[in-house]
Amino acid sequence: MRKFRRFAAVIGLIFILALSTPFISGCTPEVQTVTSTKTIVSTSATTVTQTTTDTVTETVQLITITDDAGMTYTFDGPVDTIISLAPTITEIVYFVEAGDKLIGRTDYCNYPEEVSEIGSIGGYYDPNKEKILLLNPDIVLADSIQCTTGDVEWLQSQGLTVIVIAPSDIEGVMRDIMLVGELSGRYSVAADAVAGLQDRIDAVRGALGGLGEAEKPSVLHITWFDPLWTTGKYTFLDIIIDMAGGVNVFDDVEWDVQVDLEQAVIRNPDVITVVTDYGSESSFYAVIAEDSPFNETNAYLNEHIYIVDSDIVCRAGPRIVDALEIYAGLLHPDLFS
Amino acid sequence: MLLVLSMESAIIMTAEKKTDYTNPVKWKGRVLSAVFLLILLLLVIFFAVSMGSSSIPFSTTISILLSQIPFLSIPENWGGTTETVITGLRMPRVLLAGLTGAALAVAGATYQGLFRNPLADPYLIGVSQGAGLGAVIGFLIPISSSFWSLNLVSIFAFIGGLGAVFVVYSLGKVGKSLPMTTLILAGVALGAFLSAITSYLLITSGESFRGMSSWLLGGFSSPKWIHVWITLPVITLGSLIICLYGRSLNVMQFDEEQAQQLGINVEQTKRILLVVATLITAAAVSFGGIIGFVGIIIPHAVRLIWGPDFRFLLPLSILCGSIFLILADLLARTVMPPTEIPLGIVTAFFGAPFFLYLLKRKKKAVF
Repeated sequence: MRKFRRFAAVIGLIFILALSTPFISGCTPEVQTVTSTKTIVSTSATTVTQTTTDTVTETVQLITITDDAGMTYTFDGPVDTIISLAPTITEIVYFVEAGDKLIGRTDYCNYPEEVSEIGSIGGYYDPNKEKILLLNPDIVLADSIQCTTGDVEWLQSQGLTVIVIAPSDIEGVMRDIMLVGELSGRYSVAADAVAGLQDRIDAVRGALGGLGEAEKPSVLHITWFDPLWTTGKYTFLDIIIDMAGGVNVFDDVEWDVQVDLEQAVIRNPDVITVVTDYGSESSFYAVIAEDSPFNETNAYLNEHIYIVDSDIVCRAGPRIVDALEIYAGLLHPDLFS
Repeated sequence: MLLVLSMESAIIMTAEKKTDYTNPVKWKGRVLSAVFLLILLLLVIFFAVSMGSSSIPFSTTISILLSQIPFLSIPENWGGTTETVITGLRMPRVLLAGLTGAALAVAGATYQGLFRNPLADPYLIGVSQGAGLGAVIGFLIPISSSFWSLNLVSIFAFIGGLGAVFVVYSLGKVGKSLPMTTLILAGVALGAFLSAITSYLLITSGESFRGMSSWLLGGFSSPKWIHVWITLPVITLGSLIICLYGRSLNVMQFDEEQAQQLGINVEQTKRILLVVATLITAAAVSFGGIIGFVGIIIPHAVRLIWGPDFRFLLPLSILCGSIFLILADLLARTVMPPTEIPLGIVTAFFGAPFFLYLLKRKKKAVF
């Protein structure tokens, strides 16, 4: 009996192996076919770039940059074609006036309006990689999300230059704006624009300079309602609330997180901000302002519940300074007109 | 409210007691168990209302609860937000969890009896897939208006759940009879079809993904009294009706033909039980989302402890389902404060080991 069992186990193993081999071997040719199409595309593309670089190469100095993933790249001149894989990055590209170099963007890129003229390469979590390969850009600007999904690695393995733009604070945003400006040959535009942003940040800082701890209102920021999601430490909103002279009521949690509604009520926020959904509407606001579990909180009693544009406050691009000004105005209306 | 529900089931049991002379000892034990569970349920409700992620002193909780009783003047020495937490959030949440647990457990027991299949749960013939699709569509419709302060998601989930079962029922019907195997197959096929649509909508939903995915995992994260007032009559009445059919379900565990010969209108009984069990499941699901595990495991646990007699199985499932889901929800909101874990995860994570323990201890064939 035992012998039979062992025999059955061996047979079973062989069976499983036999079943799985077609899958294992099936993967390889698929990858090969993709690579072969890629080579055809890149040969035709190099001929094009050669003709253009012939005229420019001599006058341009080397550009060396280090991206947010810590990788260093050297280019022998500004790039001509860019694909952006995130709305934030698209905003940065337009901000340094390099929109003319953009040949691909995601479905979610909606700012500035001109971006609609550029073809989409699909979603944010699931960009159409074939389309990206066929467009064969000089560089792909990717977000940290695409590092986790493996898209960055895959595109790099196909020979594309993928630069990760994932700032973690305001200084990082400024640095990345400069980086994109440098790459696209719009260095001076970027430098001027960043100086402008820095002036606006300094103005807010200056106005809030003498603020005591007691004068800082507590803020609950709602990114989703039912269930309640809020922003904790390490998020841009947490940084913005802090810079705008407020205290995030959920500074004991990290990232974007679902929290117990009871906790949000008992912490009694002075101000509640709610993001927009469905374009410029906020269905969460309607729920929170009408039939609200928050109706005993200071924010509700003093009518300090506001809608903020999620495209502005959630994107770590140049408009993050707009977000700072919006929050400073909401939290300290007496100091900002 | 649950008290009423459970008392009704206790009354049914005592009423039926007169007619049964075969095994008086077991009767006594089971009735005592039911009374014990009822008391336990009340204690659990009170316990769950007084516990939460924010620490409110026990005395304050009692004062707030007492102050809700008219003609009783209690000096108010607590903040407005504290009262909101107790009466506006915890109470409806606990009651809703209790009602949902009761509904899913009794519906699960009914389905298992009807289909004579231990793997049957309330979601077997498409309620969950239909409700899931309805809810996801509800999330996608960009209207912020609310109807009786109910959101579209709940309404669509209810309609979707009932609609799916109606389609399965029409497809599975052969002439005038309702063969259970055909019904299951139709349910599985339609369920797969609806799930495919739901999954597609889910991955293309963008921002709404968050709300959808947590709805599909189930939970009571933003409870409202209106939810309690709507589900209470549906679930109480439905559970009561189902409990009346305990004897019929017992007989139907034999061959259907045999049951017919014993004087039971099998087709009519099947139809009534299916409709009622589906209705209470849809009502529960439309506010709590798709909470797995309760509907399949609670009836089995009850069967393991108190035996397979449906006259007890049904009311005891109601009580155990209530207690289980209230405690699971308590864990969901207190394990990792201030964050909250979706209830569907908790029910399986803590419930499954307990059930496996029961299974191991009994060491006998279930079902």
